[in-house]
Amino acid sequence: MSIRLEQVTKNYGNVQGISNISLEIESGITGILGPNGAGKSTTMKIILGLSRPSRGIVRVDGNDPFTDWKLKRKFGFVPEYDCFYEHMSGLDYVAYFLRMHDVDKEEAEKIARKALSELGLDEAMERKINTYSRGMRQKTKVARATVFDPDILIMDEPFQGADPTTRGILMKKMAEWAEKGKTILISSHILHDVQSMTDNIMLINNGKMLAYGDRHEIRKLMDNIPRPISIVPLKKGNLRNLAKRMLDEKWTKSTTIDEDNNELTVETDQSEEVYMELPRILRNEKISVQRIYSEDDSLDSLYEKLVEGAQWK
Amino acid sequence: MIKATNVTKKYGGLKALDDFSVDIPEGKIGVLGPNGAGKSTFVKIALGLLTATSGEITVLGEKLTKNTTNIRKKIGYMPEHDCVPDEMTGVEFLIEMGMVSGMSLAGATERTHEILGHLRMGEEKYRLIGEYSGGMRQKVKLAQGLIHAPELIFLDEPTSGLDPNARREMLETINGLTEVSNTKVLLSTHILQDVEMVCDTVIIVKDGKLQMQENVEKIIGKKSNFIQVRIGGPVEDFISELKKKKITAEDDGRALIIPYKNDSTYDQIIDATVKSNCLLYEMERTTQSMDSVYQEIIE
Amino acid sequence: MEMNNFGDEIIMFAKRTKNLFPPIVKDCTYRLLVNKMTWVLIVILLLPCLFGIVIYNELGDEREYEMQDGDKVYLFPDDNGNLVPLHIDLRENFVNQSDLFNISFVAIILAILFSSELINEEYTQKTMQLLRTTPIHSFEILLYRYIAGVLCMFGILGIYSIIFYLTTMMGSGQHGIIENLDVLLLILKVLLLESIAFMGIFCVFTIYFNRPFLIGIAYWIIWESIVSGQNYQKLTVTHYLNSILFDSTKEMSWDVVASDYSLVNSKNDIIATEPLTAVLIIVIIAIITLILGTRGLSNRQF
Repeated sequence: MSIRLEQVTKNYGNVQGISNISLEIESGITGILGPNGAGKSTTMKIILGLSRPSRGIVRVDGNDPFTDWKLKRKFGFVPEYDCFYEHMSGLDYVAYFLRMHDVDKEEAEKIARKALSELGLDEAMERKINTYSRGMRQKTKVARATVFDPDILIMDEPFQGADPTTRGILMKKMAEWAEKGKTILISSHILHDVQSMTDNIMLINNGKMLAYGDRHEIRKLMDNIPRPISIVPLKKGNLRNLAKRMLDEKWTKSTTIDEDNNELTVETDQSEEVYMELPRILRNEKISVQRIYSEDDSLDSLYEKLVEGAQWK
Repeated sequence: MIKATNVTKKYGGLKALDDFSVDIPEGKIGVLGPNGAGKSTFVKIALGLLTATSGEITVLGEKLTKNTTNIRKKIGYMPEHDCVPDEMTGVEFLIEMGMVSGMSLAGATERTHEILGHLRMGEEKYRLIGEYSGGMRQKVKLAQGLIHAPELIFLDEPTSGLDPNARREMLETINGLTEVSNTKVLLSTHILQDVEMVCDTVIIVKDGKLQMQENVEKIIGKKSNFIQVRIGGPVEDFISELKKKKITAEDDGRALIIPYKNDSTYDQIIDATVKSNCLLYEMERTTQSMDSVYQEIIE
Repeated sequence: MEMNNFGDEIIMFAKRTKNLFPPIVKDCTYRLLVNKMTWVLIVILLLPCLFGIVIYNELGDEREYEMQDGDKVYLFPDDNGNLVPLHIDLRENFVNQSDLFNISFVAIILAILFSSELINEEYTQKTMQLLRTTPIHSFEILLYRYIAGVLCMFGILGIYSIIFYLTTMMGSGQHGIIENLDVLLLILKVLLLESIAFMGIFCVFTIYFNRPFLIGIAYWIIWESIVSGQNYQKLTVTHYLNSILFDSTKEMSWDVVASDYSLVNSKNDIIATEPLTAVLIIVIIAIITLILGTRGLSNRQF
């Protein structure tokens, strides 16, 4: 299942949606991140064939999703906004869309019931949707989008308004679906959630794609920004020795010692070198450490650098 | 700060709070719990918006019975729903809110600009609220709750709908503001990381009962018995080096998870990295997260 | 080869009908019938019926009658003082008032209301976006909604017409009611054709315009009310409905002239259309609107 965008630009009148985006999305979970109005929803709509690019080409499985309606059987879409027949019950609603997928009446009801109950809506599914809480609505949307076993799942802010339990259930489900080889595209403002689901991200701001791929790889490409690498030795006494030793290396730009946390931070712009050499040095010097990490490895930090830095480019 | 003893609240036959007792220390408190668990009922009773069916509740040293109007002066409230008028400027709205709470025009104006200064709102404060971004609207909502200089502010989902930058700014603002004015905070949210960033104490409510009250740092500092390692280069060699040391590494798709026996496990990992010519990106004992604690208690 | 594919597609569409048609029609009918505006219109429609019953009661039994083949035939004096059967007068009331109320005014409002509930409401509720990510053709999305709309519109107007017929003809007794069933059938036929045409036209309006209600009303006032009485009236649906009414009433040997149905041009020539042609043209209009609507739906971007 391949999704391919080639130099896609989309404007709505004089409002910019996305500009010149090229990417190829593979199976597994991909997180789309960016500020409000950055173009996340537009990208999703272009892939879903709800919008047609102003310029450029979109291909899903080699076909144009805007004109090829049969292609849509592969899509499961969870929009950001509410999209219900409020007068229906959750069960009717999911079954209705199953019927639209050419499923027989009894079968549709059976599958719908199963999907809703898997997401914990056993009691609520017979009630009308207009009595649902936000969490229940979110689950109903996900059930609707996934019930016909689509190959491509596109979810715009699926965790919005969901309580932690609901979020937990949904994330577990998504991990299962990704395991089965589905392509899942998900946007969320809670970077922590995305970070715990996937390393594969697409960062977008002002309609432009800032980065796409494995977040560690993305960070590697940004070697112009020095990276802090922190080391916590087992014995506090080793802190200064280690700092001194680090300063012997040409890749060390500066070192900072945090006595309170027993932590040494080395700034470098050749991080790969450090990652290669550091274990050797530690072994030769017989310094035991309990933690090596980089503040910069978190998605929060990457997001901040890219999205904020981008405004100056 | 808030003390509840055997509080019960019934809606018809339904018990929203069931013999609920809690003694919350001063500071910044996060309230967590599933929807409909009694979380908002508790908060509303503490704010004096609802009265308990039975039991006793003391807020900021005052018993909540009849003098609830008095307590409201000491409490600020930032609701979850949108409650700001589009057709006023931020400054106009806040001055009006200040005067509603009994300030003079001059006093309210001074206070408004003071708060908006803390919130790092620039010229936007003279623009219509209708033109504000989501983050700015939230700030105005927060300012509105703080206008009468309350001792305690209750924040209901302050970051809902905000994008990552706006969310971080909001949380930083909350932290900064409460530091400056020493305002106490009661934060209700679905996003557990908000609690990690803002609160000192967390309480979890479920089925109308208090399930847990714990110091936040204690929760997220608790170490597990696994070391998470991220390796670059010939990972297979690394794993077989470890095997020689009778250590099994499990790949969870993103990092290797290695059981922690004692501190020498770290040395063995370093040794294996060097022998297999790998890059060592990350090595750390995994810690308990708010998520896992929450899931454990709720399920 | 090309034709063969096309044939296969048709068969596929037909096969899917059993899964698409019932839920859509069920849901649409529900939505149309719980709509408050629908009931306001129904009440407006029922007012003349109520009026009819009141008048009937006031008349009491001062009517004169004679027996024909064992049936009671009520009579009334015409302008010249001759006694004529009462139902002849009443059936004319029925046709004229049907023409005034349910055929033009209420029917148009009903069609605008229904099309906007069926299509526009789905845009507002954003369910249309979901349907567009579902493997069904835009034609199917539109067609089944259209059919539900026509059924509801014809159902409401039809049932109303039967009630109205009964209350109007009540005065002429059982004989009068049975004698003029053909008039009722004529009105039902016109209503069905009208539903078929106007549902399609207003569906196109809702699909293409942002303010379908205004455009719809403007279309009705300018086009169907003013142009329909002029030289270019063959461009209006009203012309074809009037042609059918005119032809059928003439057939029933009523005392009508073309100008009663404004089927004349400025030179006073009769320009009525053959009834069969009229029916055909209305069906063609409906098909064209469905094709246009489908195009509009599939080109709509979100």
